[in-house]
Amino acid sequence: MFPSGRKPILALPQVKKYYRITVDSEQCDGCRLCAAFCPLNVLEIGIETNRRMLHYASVSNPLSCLGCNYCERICPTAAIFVRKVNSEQETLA
Amino acid sequence: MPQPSSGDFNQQNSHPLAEMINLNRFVFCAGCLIGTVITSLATCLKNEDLNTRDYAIVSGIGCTGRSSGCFKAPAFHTTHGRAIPFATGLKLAKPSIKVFVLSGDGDISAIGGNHLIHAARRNIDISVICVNNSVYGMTGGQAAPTTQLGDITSTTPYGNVEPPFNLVGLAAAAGATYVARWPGYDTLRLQKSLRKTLKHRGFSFIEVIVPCFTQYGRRNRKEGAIEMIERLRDIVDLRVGCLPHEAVLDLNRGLAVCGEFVETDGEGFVEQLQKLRDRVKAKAAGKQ
Amino acid sequence: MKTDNIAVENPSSAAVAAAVLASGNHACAEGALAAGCRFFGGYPITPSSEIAELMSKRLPLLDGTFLQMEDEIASIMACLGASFAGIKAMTATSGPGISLMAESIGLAVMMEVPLVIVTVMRGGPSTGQPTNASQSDVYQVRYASHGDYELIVLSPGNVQEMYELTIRAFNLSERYRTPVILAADGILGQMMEPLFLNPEIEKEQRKLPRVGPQDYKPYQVLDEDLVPAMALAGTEYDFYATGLTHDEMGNPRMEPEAAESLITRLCTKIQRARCQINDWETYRLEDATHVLLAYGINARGAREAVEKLRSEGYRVGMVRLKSLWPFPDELMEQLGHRVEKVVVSEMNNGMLIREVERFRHRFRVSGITVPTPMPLKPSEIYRRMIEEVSK
Repeated sequence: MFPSGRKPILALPQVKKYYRITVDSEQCDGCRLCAAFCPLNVLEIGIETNRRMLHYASVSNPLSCLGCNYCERICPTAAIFVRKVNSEQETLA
Repeated sequence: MPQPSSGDFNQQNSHPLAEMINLNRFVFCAGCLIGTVITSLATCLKNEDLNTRDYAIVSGIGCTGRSSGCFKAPAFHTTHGRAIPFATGLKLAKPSIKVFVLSGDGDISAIGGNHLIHAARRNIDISVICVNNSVYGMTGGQAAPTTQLGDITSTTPYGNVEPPFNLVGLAAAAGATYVARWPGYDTLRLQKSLRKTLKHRGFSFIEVIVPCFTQYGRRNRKEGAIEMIERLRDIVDLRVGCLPHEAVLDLNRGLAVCGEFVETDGEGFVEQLQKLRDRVKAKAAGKQ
Repeated sequence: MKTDNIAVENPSSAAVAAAVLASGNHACAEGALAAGCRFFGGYPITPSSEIAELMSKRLPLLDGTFLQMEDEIASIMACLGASFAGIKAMTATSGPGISLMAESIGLAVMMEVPLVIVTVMRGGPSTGQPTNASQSDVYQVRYASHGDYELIVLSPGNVQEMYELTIRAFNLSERYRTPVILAADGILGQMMEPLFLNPEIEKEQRKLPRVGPQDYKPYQVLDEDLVPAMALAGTEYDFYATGLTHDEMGNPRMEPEAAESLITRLCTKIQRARCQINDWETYRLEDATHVLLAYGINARGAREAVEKLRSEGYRVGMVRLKSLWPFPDELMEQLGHRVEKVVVSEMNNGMLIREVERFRHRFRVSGITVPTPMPLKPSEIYRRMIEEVSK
């Protein structure tokens, strides 16, 4: 069971992979699509606002990220992208 | 006007599409999947290693009309409904360029309807991406030829009584040789489809369903972006081998048939024109 | 003699026939091909269809593209697209077609696209008299589109000028990055006269970018002539061409200053060059007190009338306009110093005469204007001029 309640189709991977999610806080307009459609509740819309007074997305559970890239693909303003990294420390920007 | 910029991190750590798109030209409502269609196309072009020499984006007027400026490419923001003939001229003058038309349902099927059917008839080698939000969004939410029966828009305050177009059926009947329809959130299938149109010879037509929550959703079911996308996800029915005129798109009754409807391989118009030239020149040379 | 059987592969090569008997429409098409036009998008309309027909025969031989589009709007839009690909493009139509193309003419002005539009004027308004000529579109060609803009309109007076002025139209459009309209009439388009194909003509090309793609700004003006360099699609340059009011990067801008500066530059670009654009021919102007002003096919009768009047001792001269817009104010100023009265003769209900009347403070203005498809007879002009001179 994942935190969102969805069940995995395959068994959980044995080797832990790490992903760093980068959000461009100025480019983000707070549409919430990434947070809403992330299957693992990795993202949320934060309290902080950017120069345009908009709340932007932030990573609340970086270690849960499976690298599906859905947030990067669905983002309508190209404000978020995902990169594979090698260790837990690198998941935090 | 405030310009959002990617100034928060260094060069190596910038968005993978930074070289393909102009980040400061995304003027769409927050959550509108037009931006997603743009990034899907940009990703497809990037994955094929194409650069500014290889393609051009032409758009008309409307919300989707603002999309051409989002590309770092020869980008043309033409007049309402006239993106397709402009793209035709561009393509035939320089066939080495891949020409994409990115425009809305009203732009392409209402004022641009005549140009759509003739470009399809001629099988002009361009890819038309028709973003269908069932309404004229930019101008305030007026009814479009794709507005669903019964829906409220700013010019159908008592409910729309006009049956909508089936754009897939229209394009196919006019002669398009690649016709597909995808929901705007299905980026991977959209990218695959776009990649096919890059290699396709002849007229490609891809309809992308993109919900307009600002004008259409607000007046009808009082929904926002996420609700409309989730509702769309519930009614999308991916089919293989469905006939174009049976490709139902009825957002109210709850059915949006998606998939590829026409995929015919054959010579496109560019090749036909070149054959004509060769034939005529050979005859003239033979006479002398 | 069938004029389209001539084996003229490359009209600008030295091995071309010296003269052919050609119609005005034919001459126009030859001029376009000589100037380097390799794209024609058109729609049939009387009395200009022969231009399209000739282009359809010749362009494939020259590796060009001929496309008969579904309507006039598609025709001009296809030409706009072709021009951005670097190919010289032309379309040909008549009054009703210009009405349809109006919005696109504005787009060509705003995007600064080299383009030639030939209109062979016919009887109007509306469907009018398709097989008859007129000069009733002279305001339409200038003001068809909405908004504040300047436009170059040339006016040929014979078949040879249909050839030469089409070439000139292409050169002006390339030089100033603007659409140029060639306003002929139905008689000029259909009548046949000897046409001398000139093997040596100067062909101008649009200004290409002199900086690299990183530094290129699509609408930045670096020269006195206010013409920006034009990057082409299919090169390493990316650019945004939009019909919205824009800045030098092509970004749409809604501030008042953006509109003021862009519109001022677009208008000044043409206005500043009026001495190179405007063209007219004078006849017996030396000590004239009265001047007959005419253009197009109507100027022939005017010239004959002036000959007769001169032979009888009247001090009458003539000016034939070879370009209608920007209206040659400088010509009016010149006449203002030496002439008592200008009589405008045109085949419409009084159009260019209104432009001449702006100079009423310099000389008296009178008109022989009839909304007729036939050029005014020399005897008629003669008779009216006698009246004008004695007033």
